[in-house]
Amino acid sequence: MIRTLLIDDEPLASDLVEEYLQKYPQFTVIGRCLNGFEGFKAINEQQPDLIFLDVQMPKINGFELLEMLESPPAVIFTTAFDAFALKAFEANALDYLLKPFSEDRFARALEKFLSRREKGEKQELDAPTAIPELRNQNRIVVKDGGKIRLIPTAEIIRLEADGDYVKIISTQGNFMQKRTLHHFESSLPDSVFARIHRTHLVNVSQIIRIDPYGKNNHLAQLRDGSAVPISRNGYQLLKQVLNL
Amino acid sequence: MLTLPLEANAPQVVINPLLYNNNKWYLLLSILILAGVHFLGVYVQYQLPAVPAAGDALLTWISLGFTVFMITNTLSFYHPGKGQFFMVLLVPLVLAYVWQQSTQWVLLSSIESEAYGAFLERSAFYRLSVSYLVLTGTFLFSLIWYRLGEREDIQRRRDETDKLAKEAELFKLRQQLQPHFLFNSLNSINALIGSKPMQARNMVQQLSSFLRGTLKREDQKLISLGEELEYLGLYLEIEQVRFGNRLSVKIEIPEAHLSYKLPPLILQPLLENAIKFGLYGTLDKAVISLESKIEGGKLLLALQNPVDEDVAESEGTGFGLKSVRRRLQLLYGQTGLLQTSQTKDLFEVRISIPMAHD
Repeated sequence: MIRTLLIDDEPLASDLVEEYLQKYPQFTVIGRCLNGFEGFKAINEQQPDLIFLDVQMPKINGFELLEMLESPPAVIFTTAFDAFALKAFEANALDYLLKPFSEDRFARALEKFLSRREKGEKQELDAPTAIPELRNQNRIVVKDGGKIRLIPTAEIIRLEADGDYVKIISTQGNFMQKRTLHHFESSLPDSVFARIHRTHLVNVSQIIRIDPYGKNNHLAQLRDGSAVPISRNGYQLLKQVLNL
Repeated sequence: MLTLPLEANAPQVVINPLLYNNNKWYLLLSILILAGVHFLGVYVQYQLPAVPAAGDALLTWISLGFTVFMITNTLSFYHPGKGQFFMVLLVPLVLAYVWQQSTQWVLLSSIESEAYGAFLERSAFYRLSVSYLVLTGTFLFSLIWYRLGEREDIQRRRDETDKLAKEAELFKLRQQLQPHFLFNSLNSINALIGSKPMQARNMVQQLSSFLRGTLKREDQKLISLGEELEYLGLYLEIEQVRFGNRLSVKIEIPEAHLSYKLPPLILQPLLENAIKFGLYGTLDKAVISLESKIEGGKLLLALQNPVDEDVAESEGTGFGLKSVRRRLQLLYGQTGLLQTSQTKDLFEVRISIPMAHD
């Protein structure tokens, strides 16, 4: 039995997937979710084998939901976004079904899933970062224990790389995320956030002073009282961002 | 150096052919060769003294070369009209005469050799004819060169404008068709065909009417609020099928307001925006409301939608709002016709439409 979860904010879209699935008795629909939060909860609680995931959904989109999962199940995206936008993600999911999709196309996606499952392969998921329309630059999505939290960019003070993790220091508290600093650098607006050091990404509106430090380096004094080193390249970048 | 990109966009003046690439060096080289031939002819053939012959050769060809250059340069600024073709014959003749007289005067007054003076006077006619030929050739060549260049320039500019216009049109079409909306609607129809065929048929009708309405819209013609609401109704019914009871739209517009006119493509993009942000900004029911008022002879419309309260300043903007604001500004020549405000979880757009003067 293959436990399948449907996540889509349009009920009719899930109806269709369920109808198509009726021909395949080995698949059992264990639930339906109307948004990413419900989806996150259901995946963690029920550990499905396969999810059908819409991309554009309330609050957090399908890609963001996927990023939050520690060991994501097999994913088949269902979306109306055109192939161009999705090209960048080809490597990241089992398959993409472009709405409206035919029963044949659906069958092929299932076959792909079954053959992978037989071979015992696991899909590799990288953090997707491409579709600009889908990227909400006004906030980031972080995992806080078993919950998902949305932090507005204005409340983020700085981010610091720490081994395999990134520490996010915000007015809502500190969060450790298993990500790269590069991931945040590319998803946060570069007019507000500057990578002033190999291990530091800083909200420039939080900088109150820049002090010289050592021979060639500088130190940024932040509003919360902390100080962050600025590398030589970082200093050039900062000058650009601040229009100095 | 920094102004280069700007210059590349500005309409280009066709450049003097003699300044192209290495042409100025070729000009110089041919002047020297001609002067050399001139010198040899005078020195060897006529057995005249070397120094005045060299002076003659150099002065003759350098000044003639200079005149050629000045002609091409002048013609890059001034182009004789079509009826003035006689200028091509007359102007070089005058120039050749002036040139011949002045070089002769200079040579005569600086060379103190009677034999050479006599030779100069004998050869005056040849000098005049050769210079006339050279200058007429220059004149003709320059005219043709500049005319071709101009034509190329005009063509290039026309191509560029065409390209821009096409891009704008394509962009507009894409906007009108709203692929995301269209494909999701088709997907819903696909789902309904299996379970509720009658409803599927109904939705196909609604979608067609809506698309037809979209394509029919003309940018400039004003439409009544009633018409616009009818059109929006089609759109809303489709969205209602897609999102079920998660979406609720309250329209409170008194009947008396329905005959007021407004430009097309103003209210619909705003509603679309409101639905998009309303639906994606909240997990609960998205309640969108539209109200109207008449104030100071203006039609005021207020549209409210819930927004994501987790996003501090979700300006709720996007492309839709910006383009509507711009359109209103262009249509009425005033700013501030579209205003927005936001509370914690509610976003409001207000537009005021001045009365039409007809």
